[in-house]
Amino acid sequence: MKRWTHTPLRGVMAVALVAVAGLAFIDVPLLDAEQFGVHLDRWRSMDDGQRLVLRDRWRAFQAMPEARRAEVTRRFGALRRLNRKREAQLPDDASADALRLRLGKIEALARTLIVAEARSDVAGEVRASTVRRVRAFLTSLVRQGRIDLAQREAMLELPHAELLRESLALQKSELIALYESTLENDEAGEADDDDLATLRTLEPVEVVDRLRDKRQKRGLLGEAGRVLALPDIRRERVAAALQDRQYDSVLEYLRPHVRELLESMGLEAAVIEETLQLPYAQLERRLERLLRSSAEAARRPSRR
Amino acid sequence: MPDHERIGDGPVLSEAQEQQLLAYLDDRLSPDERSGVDAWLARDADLRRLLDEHRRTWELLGELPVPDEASPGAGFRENTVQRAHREERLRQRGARRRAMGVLAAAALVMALVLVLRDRPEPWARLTPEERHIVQNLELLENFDLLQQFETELDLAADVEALQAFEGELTETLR
Repeated sequence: MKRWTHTPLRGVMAVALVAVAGLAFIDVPLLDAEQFGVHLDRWRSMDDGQRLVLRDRWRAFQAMPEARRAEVTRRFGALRRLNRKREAQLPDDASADALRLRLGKIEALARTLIVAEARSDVAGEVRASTVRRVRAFLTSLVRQGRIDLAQREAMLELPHAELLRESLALQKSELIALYESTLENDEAGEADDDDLATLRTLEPVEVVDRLRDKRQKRGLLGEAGRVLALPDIRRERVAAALQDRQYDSVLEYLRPHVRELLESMGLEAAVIEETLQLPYAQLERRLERLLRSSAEAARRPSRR
Repeated sequence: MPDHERIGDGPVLSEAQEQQLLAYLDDRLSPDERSGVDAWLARDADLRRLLDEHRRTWELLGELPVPDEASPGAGFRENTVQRAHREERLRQRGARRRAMGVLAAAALVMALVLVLRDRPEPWARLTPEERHIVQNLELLENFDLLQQFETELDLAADVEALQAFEGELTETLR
C-alpha cells in the first residue's frame, strides 16, 4: 500500500500547511499576541483626544536620550511588578494617590531592610546594601567557578542599573539550576516540570519570589534539601524562619544537620568549618557543588 | 572488412541485415542462412554485442503474450514493437500528469500564501507609530506617573533587588 505522503499532491499540501502555519507568525508584534490584542482593543475604544495624548507621549519618549528611555522603561518594569503582586494590587484606575500610598509602604519596608544608623538616607542605604550583597554574590560565584574574576570585576564596573540587571539575570540562572537539581531527585513529587518552563519566562525578581515557597518546603533548594532529611519539627521551624527572612535563625537550625552531612562525606574538618560559616544563600550553593562532586566521584570507575 | 557501416560505438545495419538478424534470433532461418549469420557473427565482435542486446530484449518481450510461443507469427515483432510504443506513450502521459499535479499543488500553495499574507490582521491597519503606541500602551498610559514618582520607583526597584539577594551576607538588619 502506498503511504499517503508518497502522493505528490498530498505531500506538497502537507508542506504547504506547515509553511502557512509558519507564515502566520510573520509580523506578529513583539508583545505576546493576547496582550497586544488587549492593548489594541483599548486603543480602539479611545476617542481622538485620548489618542492624541498618547501620540504626544510616544513622541516625547522617542525624543529622550537612550539612557533616559532605559530609566523610564526600568521604572515602568518596577511599576508593573508592583501592580502584579497580589498584596500590592492597585485599584484599576491606578491614580497618583493610590500609587503614592503603595510606594510609601515600600519605603517603610525599605527602612526595615537597612541598618538602623542609616535610616536618614533610606534610598542611599538600600542601594549601598544591595551592592554589598551583589558583590558577595559575585564573589561566591567566582569561588564556585561559575564566573571568573574578570567577569566579576567587569560587572562591578557597570552603572548601578545595569549591575542590578546583569546580577539579577545571573541570580535567576543560579536559582533555576538549583531548582532543576531539585526536580532531578524529586521522589516526593513536590516539584513540577511545568514550573521550570514557567520560571524561565519570568523576570528574575519573580523567579526569586516563586522559589521562596519551594525553599520553605525543603529548607534549601537543590540536592541538599533532599539529603538533609530534616525532622518535621525542625523543617517547620526552618520554614517559619525563612518566611520571616530570619536567615540567622535558619542557619542555626540547619547547621547541626549540615555538619553531619559534611562529616559523612569525609570532608576535612577545615572545609566543614568554613562551609558552616557561610551565609545561607552561599551555603546552599556550596552544598550543591559538594554533593554534585561527591556524586560524580562515586560514579567514576575505580582505577584499581 | 565489416559487412555494415559503423557510426559511433555500435554497428549500423541495413534493413535487410536487421531482418536477417531478427529472423536468426527468432529461429526462422534455413540451415544455410543460419550458417551465414554464424560466420558473420564470428567475424564481428560489435555485431555479437548487438545480438546479445537484441536477445535480452527478446527475452523481456517473452513476458508479453504471443500468438504461438513455439512459432510466433510474422506480425509478432511488429505487434510487440507497437505495444512497446503504446506503453511508452502511456508512461510519458502518466509522468506528464504527475508533473501537472505537482505544478497545480504548487500554484495552490502560492495562492494560499498570497491570500494569507494579504489578509488584514488587526494591527495591519495601524500606522507604524500606532503600532509602537499599542505595543507600549501601558508605559505611555503611566508616563506621567513614571516621571512623577521617579525616586520612589527607583527605590522600589532597589528594594526588589535587595530582597532578591537576601541571604548572601550575614547582615544584622534590625
